[in-house]
Amino acid sequence: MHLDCTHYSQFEDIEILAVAISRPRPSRKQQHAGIIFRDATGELKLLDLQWHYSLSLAPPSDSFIWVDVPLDDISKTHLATVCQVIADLNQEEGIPYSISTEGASILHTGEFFGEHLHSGFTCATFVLAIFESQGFKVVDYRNWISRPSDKKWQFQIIQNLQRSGATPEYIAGQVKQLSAGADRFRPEEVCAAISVGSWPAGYEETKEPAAKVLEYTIQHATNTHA
Amino acid sequence: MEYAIDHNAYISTATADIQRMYDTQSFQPESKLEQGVVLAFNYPDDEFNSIITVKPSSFDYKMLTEKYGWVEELFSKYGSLSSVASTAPFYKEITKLLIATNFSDVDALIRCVAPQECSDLFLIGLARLTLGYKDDLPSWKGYVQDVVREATNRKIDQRALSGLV
Repeated sequence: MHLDCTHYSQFEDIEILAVAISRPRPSRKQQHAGIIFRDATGELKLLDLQWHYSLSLAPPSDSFIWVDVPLDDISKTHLATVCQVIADLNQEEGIPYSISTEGASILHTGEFFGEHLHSGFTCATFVLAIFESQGFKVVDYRNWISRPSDKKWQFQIIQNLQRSGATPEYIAGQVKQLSAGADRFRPEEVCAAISVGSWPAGYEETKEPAAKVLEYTIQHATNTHA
Repeated sequence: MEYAIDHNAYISTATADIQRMYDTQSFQPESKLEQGVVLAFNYPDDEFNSIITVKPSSFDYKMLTEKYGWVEELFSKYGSLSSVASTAPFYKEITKLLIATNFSDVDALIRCVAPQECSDLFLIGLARLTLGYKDDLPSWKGYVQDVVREATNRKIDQRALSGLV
C-alpha cells in the first residue's frame, strides 16, 4: 500500500488516477473519499459524492491524501475516462446520498441507477461503485461485518438528510434500511480495500490497512490545520 | 494503367451490384453476417485475377456510418486512442447507444472492430464499457476472446483483463 500527501509529495505525481481521502474537519471523526484523476484536459480533478445530489468534479484540495491503485496503466486510464463520463452524465442531476446501496449502481455506461426510492451511495460506496461498474470487484460483501457504531453514524446521516430537505418518502426509506440493517463501508476501508489489490477484499483483510490509512489521514489533517 | 482503369470499372459495377442486392434484401441478414460476399474477377487476356472480399462487418460498418457521424472518426482513430481526452468522446457516444438500449448497433460496432488494430486502451476499454450488457450483445463473448488473445500477444499486463474473463 502506497500512501502520499502534499507534505511529502505533490498532486502532480499522480500520473493517471488514485483514490483520495481526507478528514475535512480535524475536530470531527469523519472522513471523506473520492477519486483523483487526470481529466480530458489533463488537469487533476477530484470526483466525489459530497452529499445528497451533490456530485463534484473539481481540483482536489490539500486536505486530501491519496492512495495508489494497484492496477496497470491501461485500466487506470480506462477508469479515469469513465470518471470523466460519470461526471458529465451525472453532475447536473446529482446522485442520491444513502446509507444503503441496495439497488444502487453506477451502470457500465456511467449513469446512476437506483432500483428503489432509498437507493444511493455514501462517498465511499460511490467510489466502490465506480470500480465495480467496470468489472473490478473490490469488496467481498459476503465477508463484511456490521458494527454497533455503524448504526449510530447511519442514524446521524438520516437526521442530516432530513435537515437538508430530503423528501419524507426518502427519509422513510432510509429509516427502513436502518432498521433492516445496512453494511457500512467507511472511507478508509474502501481506500484500503482498493490499495491491497487482492480483490475482492473482505473485512478482515482490510482492517489493518484501513487503520493505517486512517492514521495517515488524521496525521495529515492535523498537520494541514496546525 | 489500363489494368487500373478496367479494374476500377469492375469494382464500380460490383459495388453497385452489391448495393442493389443489399438494398433489395436479396440476402438474408444471417447470410450477410455469417458469410459476407466474395467476388472474383478474371482477366484472362491479361492473366490477371482480382478478388474483392466484402466481409460481413462491411455491411455493419456501412450501416453504422450512415446512422452515426462519429463512427467513421472512431474507426480512423481507435488505433491511437490512449488518453482520457481522446477516448472520452467515443465512450460517451457508445454509452448513449447503450442507454437507449440500442444493443443491435453496439453489437454491430463490436463486430466491426478489429482487435489487432485497436490501441491497448480501446481494446480493453470497449470490452469493459460493454461488460454489463454482455447478455444483450451476442458478439461480446467472441470479442473478449479476441481481446485476451491480442492482449497476450502484446504482453499487456494481465491485470487489465481482471473481471473480464
